[in-house]
Amino acid sequence: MDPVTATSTAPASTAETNGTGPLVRADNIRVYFPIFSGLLQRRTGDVRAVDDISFDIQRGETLGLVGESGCGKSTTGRALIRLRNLSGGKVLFDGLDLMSLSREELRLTRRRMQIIFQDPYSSLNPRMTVNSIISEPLDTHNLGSKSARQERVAELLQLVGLNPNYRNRYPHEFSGGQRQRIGVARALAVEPEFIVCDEPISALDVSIQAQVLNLLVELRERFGLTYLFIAHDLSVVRHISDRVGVMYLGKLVEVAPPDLLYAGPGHPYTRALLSAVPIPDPKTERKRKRVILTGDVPSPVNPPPGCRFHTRCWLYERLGRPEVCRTEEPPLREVQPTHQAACHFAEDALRSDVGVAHLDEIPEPTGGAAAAPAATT
Amino acid sequence: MAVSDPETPLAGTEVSDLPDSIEVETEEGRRLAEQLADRSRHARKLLEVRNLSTQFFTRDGVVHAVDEVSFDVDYGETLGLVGESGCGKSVTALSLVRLVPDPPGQITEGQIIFDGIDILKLSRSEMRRLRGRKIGFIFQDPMTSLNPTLPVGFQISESARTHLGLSRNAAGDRAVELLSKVGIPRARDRMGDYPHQFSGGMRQRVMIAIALACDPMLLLADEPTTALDVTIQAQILDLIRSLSEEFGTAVILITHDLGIAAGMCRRVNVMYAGRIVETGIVDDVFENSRHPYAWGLLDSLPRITDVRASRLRTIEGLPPDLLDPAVECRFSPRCRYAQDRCRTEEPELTERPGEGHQARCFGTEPGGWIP
Repeated sequence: MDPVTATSTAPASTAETNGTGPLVRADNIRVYFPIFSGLLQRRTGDVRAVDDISFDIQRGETLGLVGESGCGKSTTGRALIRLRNLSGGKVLFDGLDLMSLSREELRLTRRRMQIIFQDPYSSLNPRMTVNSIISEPLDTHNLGSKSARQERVAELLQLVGLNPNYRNRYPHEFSGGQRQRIGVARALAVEPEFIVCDEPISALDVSIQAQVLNLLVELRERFGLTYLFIAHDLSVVRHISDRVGVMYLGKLVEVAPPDLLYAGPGHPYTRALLSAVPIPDPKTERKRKRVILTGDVPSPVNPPPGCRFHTRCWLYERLGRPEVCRTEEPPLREVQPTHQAACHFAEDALRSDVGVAHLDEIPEPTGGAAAAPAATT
Repeated sequence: MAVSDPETPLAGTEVSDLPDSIEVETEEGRRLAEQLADRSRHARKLLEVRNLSTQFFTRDGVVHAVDEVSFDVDYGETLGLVGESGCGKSVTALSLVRLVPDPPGQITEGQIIFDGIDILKLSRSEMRRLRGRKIGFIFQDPMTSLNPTLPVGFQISESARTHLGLSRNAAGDRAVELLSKVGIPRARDRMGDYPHQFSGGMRQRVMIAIALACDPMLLLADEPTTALDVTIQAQILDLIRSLSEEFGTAVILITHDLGIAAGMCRRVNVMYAGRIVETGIVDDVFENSRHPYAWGLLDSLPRITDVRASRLRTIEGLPPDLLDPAVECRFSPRCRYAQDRCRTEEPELTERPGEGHQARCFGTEPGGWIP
């Protein structure tokens, strides 16, 4: 698996890049998109796509990121590999501050991080052959001789389950699932450590989704990859993640290992999300209690004061609309070991029975503390 | 299911004032004209589809998009049509209302009896009458199915004016009522708004209001929530469920999401490569599936109840090309149980244990080799 790295330049390193600590650290990151309006095109506001969030991704870990469209999950993914510039905060990749790297340092560091996009139709250039699509990153990073690159392309195609003889074909000759495999091969070409998977299977058919998901799990195990796995489908995220983060309107509202998160979420939004996921089991579907959130997600230009979720929150209504939800922004805090939630009333949320209709089938979570809240109320 | 009630449940409508403007061109059309005014039942089943085949005549050959499909829909019932892209579920729905683009598409065979009327015998204009009045549609993408240049109020009242013969004012009142019924706040103020001023979920609500404007007996919902987020999806599904109960409207729900089918439908047809491969009430199909494709699909879903990183079972390979399909079980190239017989002969839909439960598989027939 290592025919080309010999000639590569060593990645930029500083004293901190010693292979310890988290691979990726997001420190209060913000990504704002300015809005210009009026005759003079003055800056009149910002779309706060990502608003002050922090988290770590350990080496070899897969962090799942879920949320609805517009919650900032894709922007977060792109900010982590500096496809978007930050408006504030810091991203440390293996100790390197991505925003302060020089052009050349950034180029070298980028070899270590790659992205797989959602739409396998628009993310492959229709005028390039599979061969040139996959070898392009090798050319960019100047890896290997011409013949070594050819060999590497064949190897990569085989790795993702495509016939190496297809290398001279064009993307339109492949099905959606096969194209996504090409996207995966391209991401793997430079032997990255970290891959942002931005809804990699959302555009695929059900039976094909499972194929690509299995491939991603296999590759992770084989190469010790670290993933940020972005999806809107909570079941997919549970399947692949070591930890799951839930985003709402630019904020990270809950982070926990899947066993804890899916057995007893500590944020009312997560509970509402879980209760909205259709479960392919007619009996469960009939007996489950749904919390139907009213209204739409508010605009990220002008997010609600206090807790951003309070305008749609069922717990807020249930508790008699406490003032603190409207006035004070709840910080992301630990509600039990390894489990963080950003809600003033996370303890009440933990005790609720909303959104856990699927629980009967869940194996006892090993966390211990998580088993308790499900039974009450 | 108060379907026998001839009065429309919404105010603002005096259906008896309906101008009998329909020009009768065919015998079926005359019967349709007699029926249009009311909502009472005229047949045993709302919809009976028999051996429906729809083909597309392309440069490369004939695509058998829907191949000898038969099923029924009861009055007030919700039926699911599930399958992956290209399995023929949307073409089936379009065929039911004769909206298959022609050319290249054509219904080549079969019978569609809607409320006692053989719709393939209707003339074009008679069909148009039936469509607007008795069948409502909701499509996947509300942005492309609404007219961006017209206010939503106009788009909703348009069909009430054409099909129910309401005056401009009466139709407007009805539109306001429908808009608030589908959960759009300040409905009267929003009548003049254009589609782009609504969010995705709100647009889909507008689509539902248009679909229900003439109090149809059947609602065709083609992937109504695929473009929406889960919490909005839950809102829209809830709305469809409660409105269909309130009005006794039957629903054909087309979806690729087995979870949605499990929660919304009483019965479900699983389609593969233009054929129905399994049909039955949801409990039988989901818990005791008798077709390898159907249970393969169920097995390949990551569940919210899953433990992490267990390997998902997959269905290897791709669906077949529907250009002149070979005589064989169409799933056999991907089926791990397939035997020689499956590759030379195509199985029929035959009975399985359970109410109306049928599957198209030699292996699960009595005495078959699949347990």
